[in-house]
Amino acid sequence: MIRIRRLQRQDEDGKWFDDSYAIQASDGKVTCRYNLTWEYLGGRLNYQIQQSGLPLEELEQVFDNPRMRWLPVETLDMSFEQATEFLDPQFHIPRLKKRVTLQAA
Amino acid sequence: MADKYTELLERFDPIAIARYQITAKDLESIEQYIEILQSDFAQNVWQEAVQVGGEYGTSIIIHEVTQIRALKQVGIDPLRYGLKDLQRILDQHRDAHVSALYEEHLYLQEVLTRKFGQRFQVATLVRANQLDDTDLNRFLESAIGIFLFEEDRVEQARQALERLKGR
Repeated sequence: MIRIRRLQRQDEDGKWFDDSYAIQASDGKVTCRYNLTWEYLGGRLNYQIQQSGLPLEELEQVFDNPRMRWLPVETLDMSFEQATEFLDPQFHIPRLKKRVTLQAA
Repeated sequence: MADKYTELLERFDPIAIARYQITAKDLESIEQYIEILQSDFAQNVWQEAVQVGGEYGTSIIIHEVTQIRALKQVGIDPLRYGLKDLQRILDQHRDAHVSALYEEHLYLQEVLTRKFGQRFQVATLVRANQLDDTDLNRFLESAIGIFLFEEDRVEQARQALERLKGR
């Protein structure tokens, strides 16, 4: 079971739509998964979330914007990996294919 | 309106402005582009670039101008779309974001070497400049090239970037 919380924004006509989501891993760590429109502000949000250590239910304390809204917590019967694989495409969040890390000499 | 942007050009590094051929019209496009993406943020990327100015502000401008040009190269004028469409478009053309990251941090690499005598790998600067590892991972997995990442120098790079911002 995994818990998530959707963050919605408004389009040009004022209609709410799903923009990004926060997900809680089994160790309790909450991370926001965001699309490329956020640029580096997404990293800043994640830093604030992780510094605060707040649970999903209290994310408004970290990020409260009158033109965005957090929806109630949802529980999905999936693993973390399954949930992100399922949700990322819906939120237009680029999926990582592989990771190659080399150490400079 | 062009006068406003001509004046704003003076806030940024003239060497980079010349090298990347950034014009007042480009600045106007960047402001419009960021307005579409982030109009609902308390402080968006454009506002931060203008406020900080100097080399660090220039690095943000390089990122945005590179991204807009990359999209235009594939026939997409991002200023013609709304936020929802751009979410999808940027996902479909994520290389535009990675190219922008590369140019932004290549410039920062050169500036830090020139000003402080500290040279970091581009990937190290990408990680140091972000507060999570999302962009680094996108960067390392891209087809743009093979990059070296100096995990043990991220904090040092972060301090150099803070110094560049004047903090």
